[in-house]
Amino acid sequence: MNPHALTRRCLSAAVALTLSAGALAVAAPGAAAQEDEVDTLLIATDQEVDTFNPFKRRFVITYNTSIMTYETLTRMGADDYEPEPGLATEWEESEDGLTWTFTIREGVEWSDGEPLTAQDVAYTYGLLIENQAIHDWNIDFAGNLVGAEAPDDATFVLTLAEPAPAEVLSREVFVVPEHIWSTYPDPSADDANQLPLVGSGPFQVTEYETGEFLRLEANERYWDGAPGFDEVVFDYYAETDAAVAALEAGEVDIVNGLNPAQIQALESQDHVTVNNAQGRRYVSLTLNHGTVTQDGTEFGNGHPALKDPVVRTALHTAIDKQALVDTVLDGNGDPATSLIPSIFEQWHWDGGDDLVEFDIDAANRMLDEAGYARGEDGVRTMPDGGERLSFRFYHHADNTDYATIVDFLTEWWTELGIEIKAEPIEQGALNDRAYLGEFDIAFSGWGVGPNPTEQLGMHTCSVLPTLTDGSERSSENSYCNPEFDALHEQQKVESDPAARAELVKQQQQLLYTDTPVIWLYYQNVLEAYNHDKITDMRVQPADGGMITGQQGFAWSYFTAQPAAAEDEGGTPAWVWIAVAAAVVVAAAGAIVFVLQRRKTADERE
Amino acid sequence: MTTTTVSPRALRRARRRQSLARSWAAYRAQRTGMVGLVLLGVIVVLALAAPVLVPESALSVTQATGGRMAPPSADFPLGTDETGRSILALTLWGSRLSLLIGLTATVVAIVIGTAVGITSGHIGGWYGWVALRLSDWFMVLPSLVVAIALLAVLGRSMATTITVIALVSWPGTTRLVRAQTLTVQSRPYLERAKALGAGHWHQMTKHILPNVLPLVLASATLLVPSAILMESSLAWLGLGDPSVVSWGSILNRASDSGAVSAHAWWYLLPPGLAILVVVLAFMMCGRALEAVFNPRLRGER
Repeated sequence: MNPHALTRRCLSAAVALTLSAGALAVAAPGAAAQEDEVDTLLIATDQEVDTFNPFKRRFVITYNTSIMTYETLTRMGADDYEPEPGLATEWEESEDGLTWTFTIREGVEWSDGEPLTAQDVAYTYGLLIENQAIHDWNIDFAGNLVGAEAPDDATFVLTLAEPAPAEVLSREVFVVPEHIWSTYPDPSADDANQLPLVGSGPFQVTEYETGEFLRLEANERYWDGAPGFDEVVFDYYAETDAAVAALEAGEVDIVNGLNPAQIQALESQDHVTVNNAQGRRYVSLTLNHGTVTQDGTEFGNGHPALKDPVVRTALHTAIDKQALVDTVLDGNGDPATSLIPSIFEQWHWDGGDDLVEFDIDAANRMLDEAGYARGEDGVRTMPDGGERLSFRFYHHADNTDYATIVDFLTEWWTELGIEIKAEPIEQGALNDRAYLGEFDIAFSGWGVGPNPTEQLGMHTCSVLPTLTDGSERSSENSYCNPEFDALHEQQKVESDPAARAELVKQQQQLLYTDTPVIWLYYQNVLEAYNHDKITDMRVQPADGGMITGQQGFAWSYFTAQPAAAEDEGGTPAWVWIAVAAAVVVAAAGAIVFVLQRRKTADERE
Repeated sequence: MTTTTVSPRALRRARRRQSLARSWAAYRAQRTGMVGLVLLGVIVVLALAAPVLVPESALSVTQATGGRMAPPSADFPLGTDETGRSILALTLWGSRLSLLIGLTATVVAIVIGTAVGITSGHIGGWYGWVALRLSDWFMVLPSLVVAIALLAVLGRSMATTITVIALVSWPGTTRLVRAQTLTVQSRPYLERAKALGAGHWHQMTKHILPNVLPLVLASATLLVPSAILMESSLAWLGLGDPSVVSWGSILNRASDSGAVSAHAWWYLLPPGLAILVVVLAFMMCGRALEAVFNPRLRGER
């Protein structure tokens, strides 16, 4: 074949491709801006659904669909997370704290029109007690339940083995309809709950296409009034940058999980409001101070130096948390002390006199005094002159923030004469190694709820594993301190909020000074929405609160009202960038292709 | 005809020098090849001199002085990244790793490819058949998918990246070398060597290898850019070792930290253009080399 003819053909194909790519890019925003009769609230997401079974779900996306589809007896207030009437209008705790009587709201209907009664509530709590799989999944709460009864349609009585006032009122048990669930052969199965879901909340899940969208329709019968939007759709975007471009183009209404650069880009958009709210999430480092089982069997292969609190404190002292907040988060967060973020003022402990200040010289002195002498290569060794202080440091491979933090920590800790071997690994593999104790330092992070018991409970002796195979994952860090446990039992039953807060702070202080974990920072929630389409969204908490990470009830989506929409003319800048990129890519492709064709054509002659 | 006593070794050396000079002349006659060579020379010098031009402390995040993703200025000619480090310094230092991985992976791939190619062509039989099928099998595997899967299993480090790239790029060389081996094999002087009692090893190393080597060199030059591209793709997908600086990892960090949304072109363009230039330079040299060693291509111009 004549190579020149081939070249010409390839070039014309490339040109055609380029043109059509450009045309598509220009046409896309116009096509999406179609007139809808229904008001749709579009939220960008990237997380797949684990299960629609509200008793077993673990992901954020299904937490959101659960608090929208179903309701709890008490819902968490928008102002301050305090429990307020939900399905129950009133409640009463018995003298001994073991019997709770709830009055169920009258006139509430399920989304299919059936009435919601105390029988449904009793059925739901009954599942927690009697269905073995559901019971096990919620063992920390369900293990304390003795009985759930409905003497009449408006009264629900819950009996407990031990008093747990905070748990009863803040634990989210999503009340499900008995007339639907009793027909399920196995209510504990992942796929038990069939779409469309029937619930009593403001929106119900009706449709889900993996990787495409997740649709919830408004419940016109909702007892607190019908929501402003007719439907809420979670739209899937694999990249946050794509979601940002979609928000700029008006194709999506709410985007969260933004980084500082994206926030900056969005702030210049007239139709976008950026919300930079204090978050509930902490990022921490788990130090392997020795993994043990309930009966004291040690397992794993953590570095012996990390068993020494002096080394752990020295590592802690050589971290400038403020610098991490400033650089990694661009200031959108707060340096952390212990495990309750500062958003929960009443529980948060500020470090007091024990606060560790960044001081590399002091950290070096601590290690010198403890006998960790520097070897010839500048790396310290154990006091007996044996093993070098070389720590494996695992971080999540897909998290650039963590990679940057690793850069900082490596530089600081190298100044201490400690060698860091950082390795990025997948989240699943990282968790496996962490629970097997086969690590020295690893990243961790949790979103904290308004009830501190759950987070603190992960550090008690009673959740230590019984096996050494890493399959039991209730203990965050093999931490076991009887003093801490005693405080924990006390705070669980303490009904005076001030006294309970004092106990919770003492627990945090113990964790902080023992340093099994170093808390780095509390991350802000960075989110943005299109205020030309949405107004009146209620944030949680009231003062500088968040829109997307709400707890206990979806206040924001329930209160959101559609604004009079206006269509903006003109082609946004990103379209031209996309066209230019497409042209460059196509041209490069054509060049490579032509060179390749030429080469093979020549060889074949 | 001279009757002076010239040792066979000197004769061989003189002949080699002559043929080298001939090749060089043929290479020099090609303008693209020379442009590529000069470009390549500049890049390699810059990469080697990076520690002199920019101290390693420029890569330190704790000592970074620039603003957050600041646009180009007098202090930072190519702007800064999200931690305030100079993009120019990162790109310069990134060249070292990108070139190192590209070259090492190519050498490994070429060694495997040549060894399998020569042995399968020379020995033939069932061994040749198996070796050929094996290379076919590797050739039809989608290389990026295989590389991603392997990296996920083996973990991320420079060594695994090199291994993975070499593993997916050797079969092309094998094919080429095997074909050339078969051609050389049918020449009378090899029959003569065999008749004089030369073993397989002697035939392969003394007669076949020198004859396929030029071809191997040309194909290696064309393999380097694809290895560099693959390293960049893998690093950009977040499968490189993020604690080291390569062009791909710079791009990965840029896209993860929102450089696209922030329109921070100074963060994306330098590593991207650097990849483009290096790939182009290698391609130019490779094409020219090919033309030198394959006289049929020379007539075309």
